[in-house]
Order: sequence, then C-alpha cells, then structure tokens
Amino acid sequence: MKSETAFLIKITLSAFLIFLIYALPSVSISQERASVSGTVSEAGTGEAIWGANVVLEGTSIGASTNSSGFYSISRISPGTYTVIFTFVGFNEIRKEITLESGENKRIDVALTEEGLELEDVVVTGETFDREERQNIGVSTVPTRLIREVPAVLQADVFRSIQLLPGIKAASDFSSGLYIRGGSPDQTLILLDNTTVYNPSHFFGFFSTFNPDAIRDVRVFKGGFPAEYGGRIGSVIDIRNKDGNRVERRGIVSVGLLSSRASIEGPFNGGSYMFALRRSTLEPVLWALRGSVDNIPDSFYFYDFNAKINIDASDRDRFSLSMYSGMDDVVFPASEDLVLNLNYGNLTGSATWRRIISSELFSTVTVTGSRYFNFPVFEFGGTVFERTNTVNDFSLKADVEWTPGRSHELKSGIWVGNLLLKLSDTFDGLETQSPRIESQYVTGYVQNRWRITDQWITNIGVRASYYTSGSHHSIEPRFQLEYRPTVNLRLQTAAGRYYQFISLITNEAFSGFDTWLLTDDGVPPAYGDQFLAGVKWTPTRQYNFEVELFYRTMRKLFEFDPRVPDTAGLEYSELFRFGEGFAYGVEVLLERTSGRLNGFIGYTWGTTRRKFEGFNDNRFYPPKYDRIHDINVVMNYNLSTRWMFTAVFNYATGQTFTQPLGRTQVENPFGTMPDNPLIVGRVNASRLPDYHRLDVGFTYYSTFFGLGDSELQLQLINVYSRRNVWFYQFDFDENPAQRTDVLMLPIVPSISYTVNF
Amino acid sequence: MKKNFISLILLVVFFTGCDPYTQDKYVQQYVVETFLTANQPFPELKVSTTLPFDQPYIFEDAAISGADVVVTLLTVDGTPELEIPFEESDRVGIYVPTDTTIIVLPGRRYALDVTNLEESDDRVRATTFVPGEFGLVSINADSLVYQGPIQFKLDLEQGFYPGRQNVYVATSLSLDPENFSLTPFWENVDGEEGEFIRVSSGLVNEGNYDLNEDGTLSLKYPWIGIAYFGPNELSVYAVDTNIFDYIRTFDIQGGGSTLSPGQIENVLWNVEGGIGIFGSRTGVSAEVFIKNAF
Repeated sequence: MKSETAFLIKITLSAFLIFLIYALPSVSISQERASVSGTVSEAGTGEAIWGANVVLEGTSIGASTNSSGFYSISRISPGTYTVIFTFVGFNEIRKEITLESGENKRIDVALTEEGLELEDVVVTGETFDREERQNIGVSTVPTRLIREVPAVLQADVFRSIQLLPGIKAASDFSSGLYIRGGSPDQTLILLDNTTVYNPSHFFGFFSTFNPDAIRDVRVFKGGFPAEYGGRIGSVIDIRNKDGNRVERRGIVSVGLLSSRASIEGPFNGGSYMFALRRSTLEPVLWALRGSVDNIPDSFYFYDFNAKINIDASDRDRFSLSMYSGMDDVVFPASEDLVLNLNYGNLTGSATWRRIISSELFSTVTVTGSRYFNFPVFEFGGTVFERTNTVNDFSLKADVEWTPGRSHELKSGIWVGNLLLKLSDTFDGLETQSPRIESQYVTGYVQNRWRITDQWITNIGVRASYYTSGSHHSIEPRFQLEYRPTVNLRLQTAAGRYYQFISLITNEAFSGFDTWLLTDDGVPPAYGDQFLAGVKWTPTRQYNFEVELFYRTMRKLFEFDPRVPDTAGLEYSELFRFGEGFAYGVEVLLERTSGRLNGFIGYTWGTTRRKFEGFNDNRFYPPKYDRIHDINVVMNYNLSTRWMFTAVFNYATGQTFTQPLGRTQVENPFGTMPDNPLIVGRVNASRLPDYHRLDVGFTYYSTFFGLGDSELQLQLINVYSRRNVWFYQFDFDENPAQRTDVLMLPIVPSISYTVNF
Repeated sequence: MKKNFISLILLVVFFTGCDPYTQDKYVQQYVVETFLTANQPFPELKVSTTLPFDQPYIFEDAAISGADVVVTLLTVDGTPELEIPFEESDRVGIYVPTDTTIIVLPGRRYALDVTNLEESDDRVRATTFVPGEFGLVSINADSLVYQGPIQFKLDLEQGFYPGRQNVYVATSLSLDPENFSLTPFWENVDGEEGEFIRVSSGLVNEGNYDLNEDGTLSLKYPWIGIAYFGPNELSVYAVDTNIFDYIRTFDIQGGGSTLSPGQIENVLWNVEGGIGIFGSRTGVSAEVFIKNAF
C-alpha cells in the first residue's frame, strides 16, 4: 500500500510540476503573436468581478475573468480590435486597441452598474454574469437577493440559497443545505478558499455568513470541475469582499435578532473590509425572564469578518482574510440541570495572487480553519463535559494558463494537516478521547477547451491521498457543452467524487456537530454524478434553465445511531455503512430585470439511502426527500422609494415513519413499561404538504443626509400556515396519541440599515 | 422539436412520479417476553401478540392462552441438557415454570421454544447466553452524603461474554420511597408517582470502567443515578446480547439520536417467528444509605 501511496503522490506532484514546466516557457513561445490581459472590477467599489466577459468584437475570441477579476486572451494576430467588457447588470465598456507582433497589452477596466446612471431607481435584478452562472450545475446567489428576500429575523446567506432549485431546507428551523438529495456534510463550504466546518449560528437556525461581508456566493450543485473536491455532493464557494478601493463606505443595520456594522475602504496600496455582527437578544431575554419558563441565563452569538488587500505591484496582490464566530448559551433547563454550550469557527487565509505573464496567473494560499464545540451538562451533581475540535491547516497553490484562444488550463495542489480531537468526561472521569490526525495531499489538472465556437469541453482529473487509513482517490471529471445558437446552451457533465470525512449531527440542532475521518476499516465514500441541461436566454430579460441529474453514493459511512457507548470499540465499529442515490429535474424561469423581476424554481426529485441492518436492508427516503418543490421569488418596484418582495414555497410533505403496531415490555431496569413501536417501511409516509408565503416591504430613504437608508418590514408565513415538522407519540394516553410538532407561525420582522 | 422535448419531459415526470416505495400495512406478530437473572429462579414469561397502533393496548386483549412453552438449558455444543417446561398461570398469557426451584445458571446458554399458537405451524424461538458470573469485591461506604466529597464506588470482578466486551447497566432501587424524598434533579423531572423508584443508566461498555492492577474493575457510581435519599440498593448488571440490542434500539425510537425526528427504526428483537425479548443478565448489588446534607 505504501508504494501505491508514494506512486500516487508522485503522480500528483509530477502532473503539477509538468504543468508548471510546460506553462512557463509559453511566455516566450507566444512571442510571435500578441495578447491582452488585465482585470475587471466594479467602478463603484473597485471590487474584482468574477465571471465578466471579455471578447474581441467580430470574433469568437474571448475569455472570462477568474475569481480575482483577471482575464487573459493570448495568441491574437497583430491588428486593431475592439475589446468589449460585459457583465450582466453593468454597462459594457468598449476599447479599441492595436496590437503589435509579440505585444502583451494590459487593460484594466472598471464597469459601472446600469442602474446607477439613472436618476430613478431601476431594479436591475441580478448583478452576476449569466455566462458563468449558466455553466452546468452552477448557481450564483447575488448578495442583493440575500439582503432583499424576506428572512426569519435576519438576512441569511444559506436561507437564500435554499430558494434555488435543487436545494432544500430540512425545516423552518434549519439553515442546513440539502443539495440534490445530499445531506449537509456532502457539501463543501469554502470561505476565501478555507473550509468552514460548522457554518451555523443559533444551533442551525442561521448560517455564519454576514451578508454585508460577502462579495460572491457560488453554488456548485453538482458535476463540478476538478478544481473542487473533498465532498461527493456539492460546493459552496463564498468570497469575502475585498474592500472598496474607491472610497470609504460603511453599513450599520439594526434588527430584531442581531445588529451589524461594517466598514470598508481604500488605503495607499490596498483596501480593507471589516464586518461585525452580534445578536442583540439580551433585552428580550431580560424582559422575558421571570415571566416565561426556560429562558437562558445568557445567550449571544457574534461573527467578525475582515479582509485586507495589499497591491504589492501591478502583478502581485496579497490578501489576508479572517472569520471568527461563536455561539454561547447558558441554559438552566430545571433545578440541578444546566447546559452550557460554546461553539464556533475561526478561519484565516493569506493569499498571494500573481500575474506571471499575460497567459499565466497563479494563486498561493495558506489556510487555517478551526471548529470547536465545548458543551457542559451539569445534572444532579454529575457533570458531562466535551471538548471537540477540528483543526485544518493547509497550503494551496493554483496556476491558470491560457496558452491560446482554445484552451484554459488550470492545475493546483492542496496539502494539509487535519486534526480531529474529541474528549468526553463524565463525572470527572475521561470516557473517551479519540484523536484522529491525517495529512492529505490533493492535486488536479483541468482543461477548458473551446473545440469550436459551438463545442466546449472541460476535462480534468483530481487525485487525493489521506494518510489516515492510507486511502486515495482518482476522480475524473468531464463537461461538454454545445451552443447551437448564441442564446441556447446544451450541456452535459459527469464525474466521480470522493469524500474522506463524515459528520455526526442532528438536523434539529447543529451545536454538537462532530466530524469523523476515514481510517483503517473506514474507506472513503464516493459517488458518480451525471448531469444534462438546457440553458435558454430568449431575451436579455428572461432566462430559462432545465437540468437533469442522477447521482450515486457508495460506501457512505456515518456514525451508527445504534452505538450507545463507544468505549472499547474499534474505530470501524462506530460506523454504519451504506449507499444511496438521487435523481431529479430542476426548472428555473427568471426575469432578471425590470420593475417586476424574480424567478420561479421547480424541482422534481428523489433521494434514497440504504444501510446494512436497517429497514430490512431496503432503500428508504430520508426525511428531507421531497418529490415536488416550488419556489417563487418576486421583487416589485412600487415606486422610487418602495419595493415589495414576496417568496412563496410549496413542497411535498417530508417523510416520516408510520407506527403500525405496538406492544409493551416490562423492562426490569425501570418501573414503567416500555412501549416499543412496530413499524414497517421506514419513512414510507408523508407529512402534509408544506407551503408558506413571506412578504416584505423596503423603504429607501436617507438618514439625516449622512447616507442611504433601508427600512425593511417583513412578515414571515403571512397566512400562518402551521406546517408540521414531525409527529410525536404520547403513550400516557391509551390508545397512544399522535401530536404534531409544528414549524414557524406568522413572524414579523423589522430592520433598519444605513449605508454611509 | 420544441413540442417533442416538452412531451418527453412530461412523460419522464409522469412515469417517475409514481413512487413505488409506499406505506405497508400492519401485520400481527407474536410477542414473547422474559428477563432471566443469573442465580435467580426462572421468572414468568409472557406470550402475546402485537396490537394495531391506534387501538388501546391492554395485555389481556393481546395475550395468547394455551401455548406450549419450554426453556431448554443447552450444552456448549448446543445440545439440550435440561428442559424447563412452563405452564400458563391463572393470568391469561402469563406462563410460569412448573418447577420453581430451578435457577438460572450464569455463563450458560438457554433456548426458548413456544408452540401451539394461533396456527398449528407457528413457532417462536430464541436463545440467550447468560453473562458469566462476577463478584462484588468491595464497596467504599455504606452511608454517604448526597453530592458530598465521597462518591459511592464498587470494585467488581470481571465478567465474561462470548465474542465481545461486557456491557453493563447500573441500577438504583429505592428501598424506602415512602419515607424519603427524591433527590433535587429527579424531583424536577416529569414523571408519574413512583416512576423513579428504580432508575438505571444506559448501556455502559466495560471499556468505560477503570481496570485495576489486580484485574478488578472499579465503578464510581454517579450521583445522577440515585433518585431517592435514604436506603438504596445499587446494582450493576452485565447484560446479554438480546437486552443489549433491545435497549440500544428502543432508546432511539424516541428520537434524540442522529436520526431525523420522525424517522423510526424497528427494535432489534433477536426472536425467530415473532418479536420480543428472551433476555438475561448477571449482576451484583450493594446497599447504601444516601443522606441529605440539607
């Protein structure tokens, strides 16, 4: 096995080095022809635009900007051209250039938002690029959408993502993402290239990402290219704002649950951004204490985002990014029973981006991510304490090479050390203290090849190796696109995906989340994905998308719920192993601009799981399986000052297990009889269908001349539909009674935001 | 072309929209129940059926009368060594051994065979291995102040169970609940009158106990495991696989595990031809007086 491992590492490193060696001479090889490269940014903020289009007019020669806003078009015949820079929601820029033989011309441009040039407010809808977003399996969530759609108590990144077709929520209480039939741990969450292991506040109610600090949210629902990996389902790639490079700006927002403040601006040779959010529940808790039972003694959460960019030269840029967030609650459930829970994340990254040449762009990132939770229960004089941490330190290096008009090659390597530590103490005695550490190395190569103007393919391969258990993976990826007309794209993709970690969690409560790694006897999970899609843009205003997906999940490993005590067990005995599959169709119809804009998303989907020894070894639908799911998101510009927003969601009821029979057992370890349930097929029944309408009004004004202001008035669940979360059974009654555990009733929300 | 495409989509949705995974119906099953305790006489054994979930549960409605019940002591190679016949008591569905002097032997395997049920071919069978005997070496006190500086501690000999480590359940039984009150934690737990006279831990692996140099195990009894002040009998039982499977799977039917709320798995019963428990345990006990400091 060791020689196999060494071989794998050698192959990965060799591929990366060969790529570098081959790419570097290209600077001289391409001297006969000219090239143009540069960056595209927003004029108002100086923020880099990811996915802007750059084309030479009258030709099919072009490129898209990367996450740093960098583009490169090489091997251009000398001559005079008009370069067109476009990005949806922004005014295009045209620049006439003349290229001499061997010339590398640098053109940096700043695009202005369409709406900003008009006196009246014009709803531009989404400010992201259709070209990029219409790639197969990809969705992009504009931060504007996150801020505008009605949200329970506060704007939330993941709650907005849950509106997209193919993405579902477990309940009103969960911000967890169930993407294309996958559980939340099958989605890789990246913040500025750094893995975030528990992206939740309020025990799962909200995500940790402050919308004021976020620049881009990209959702790779499936079929993602080789540059991403580590999960068998999907990827959420979130980028913090770089900071306004033009002027100092700030936001202050006061809401019912939390308040936010952020500031960003330029400095000589760079920019900065700081954003802070903290819950402001203390006055409410204080008012309730004494009159309502079970009010926490203390509860708060906060998060802090920061980013500093330093432009070392016109070719080199350094950035430091960090995130820190924590929840803390002290909850006396009754006399002699106290819960104290403290959990959160701390991430940081340092990135060096370098434009090596007009064809070659590199990124080197050092990342660190720490997740922790420290619950303490004290009941009846007996104390249970847990120390649970994940520490992940890594180094990533990526190079992008555009050797010609047809190829965009990208390669990278990611090495790191992942340390998972768990220590339980019960009544002063340590009951378990597993410590799993793994070094990992991952490498990939991919090539986006424009075969003709109509045919584009992206072929890549990713390889990974984890030392814990000496497991490795080889993951081929493939995308193919055909563009019969300018506004029609037919796409397909396939790939294999591996996952080396698994999450112990409960969908009702994320505060105790615990990660586990592969090791001896616990091989990685893997799955294959197959996608096909049609993207049609009949006019500039409208967009229509259909995607079909089918995916498998093999060797799923998750903590066995039947393990009551882990002491003295082999590591592999902690798990149950299984498999699954999911398939479905997603349809999206959107109107991206105009007084009335928004989208209708529909998903028809199925997902199944099977674990050995459970449900008579049959496949069953997990609770979050929903056959039909419709989301309607609408913004209507009532006047220059008022905007109306509405979100409607309808979904097939989630699954539950119907008790069929019962018996009683006089358990000698208790005094009251047990009431075991007899069930048939697990999760074979459905709760009532789910539906909910949320509305919001936003009033735009100014705050005493100091800046623009937004007053948001929102009603969640307008008609107070009492959707059922799950059923409970009361055996104090005979026959046993079923009671409904309900989700949110009507909830009003108000917030006031000042942009200065 | 466009028409064909839309038709294809509609066809796919129509056909795949029929979910073959549908809810099945209630099927009645036989239920047997008895818990053997090593070195104790054979206890009564219940034979009944399950009842539909939406009907009131009354044991007498489910009880099966007139069954033939036999427990057999098996040799190491599985051949019968001794038959212990049961007869129906004066309560319907409850069977008692005809010879009440026979005791359950630790470290031995027993088989249960129930025949003459509702259908002549029906038969319910199960086996249990009674955990090997272990002794109580010492206790550190016979009287303690609740949540005081000294906790009750038992030193035990190591038991034996084939193929796995021992799994224990610790139990406290109040010997005078009439005259002593509940401890503060249990006083605040919702429950019926007398429900906490006996309280038990969950399943605890032997790996959780301190292994002493002389090969004995030490168990510090947690305060949470004592529900009443006054005299208590504190016991530690090693359990067989049937009890182990029952407790660990029954506990997750009520939620609180990693399973989604509303997802219920069947209990692991280890009974052929029906469900229920033919369980066994081996234990040691000690008495301790718990004083209230206040």
